[in-house]
Amino acid sequence: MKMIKLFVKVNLLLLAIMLMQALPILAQENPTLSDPEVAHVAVVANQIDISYAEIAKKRSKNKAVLKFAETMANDHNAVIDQAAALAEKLGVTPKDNAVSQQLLADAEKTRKTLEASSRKAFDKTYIDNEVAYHKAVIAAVKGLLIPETENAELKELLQNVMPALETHLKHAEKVQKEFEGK
Amino acid sequence: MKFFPDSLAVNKGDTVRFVNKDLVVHDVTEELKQTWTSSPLSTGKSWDLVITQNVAYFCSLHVVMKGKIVVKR
Repeated sequence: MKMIKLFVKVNLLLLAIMLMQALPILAQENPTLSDPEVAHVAVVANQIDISYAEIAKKRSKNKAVLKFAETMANDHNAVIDQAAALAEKLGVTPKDNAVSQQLLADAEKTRKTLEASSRKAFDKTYIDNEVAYHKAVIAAVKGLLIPETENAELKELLQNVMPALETHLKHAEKVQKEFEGK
Repeated sequence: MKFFPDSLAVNKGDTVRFVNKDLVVHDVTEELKQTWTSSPLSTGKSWDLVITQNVAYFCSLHVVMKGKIVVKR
């Protein structure tokens, strides 16, 4: 009997959620980020999406939303682990910076919006934010973070995560369709 | 992220081995009615499926990841 190997070719997804609102920040101010700062932004951006997922898991009753949130939490935790392992290997300590701080400030506003939304409106509010967040992240990683990164391994990690980010976006858009017109 | 290849033709009775080469967890689940699933596969884990008929499958954790296997006639 013949054995055929079928690979689940995934791409890291690394910085996944990164740079939500950082895109307009970077576009406006064109800051220069060092590699430790890029690494910090990456970790923060992943943590932010995990925090949104935790809110969704507490507030939503929708099966598709809960499944998506669970996947976001698991995947972004895996990305953080990957980024941490790379930082340790490279001897890099992620460094706080203006972009990370702005991400956190914007995330706090989003958290308040999610927490304040009615139970009926929550699912749509959450998934709309996930779609917008991933679009911003994809644009920022591709157009800003990758060009800013000097270390080859960190750059490769950023490049490898792109297909995963796109998968997250497609997944979010699929769930979003459930709430069209609501 | 995707199944690679995402379309495959095999002989009836062949075994297809799915290997998770990613750093995140995936699964392999029958698409139409979820009649079978591999259960979650962490990085480096694999799962075998004996092909007796055409199958359409997806990753239930990343629902846009899809694939199909057809039996050669």
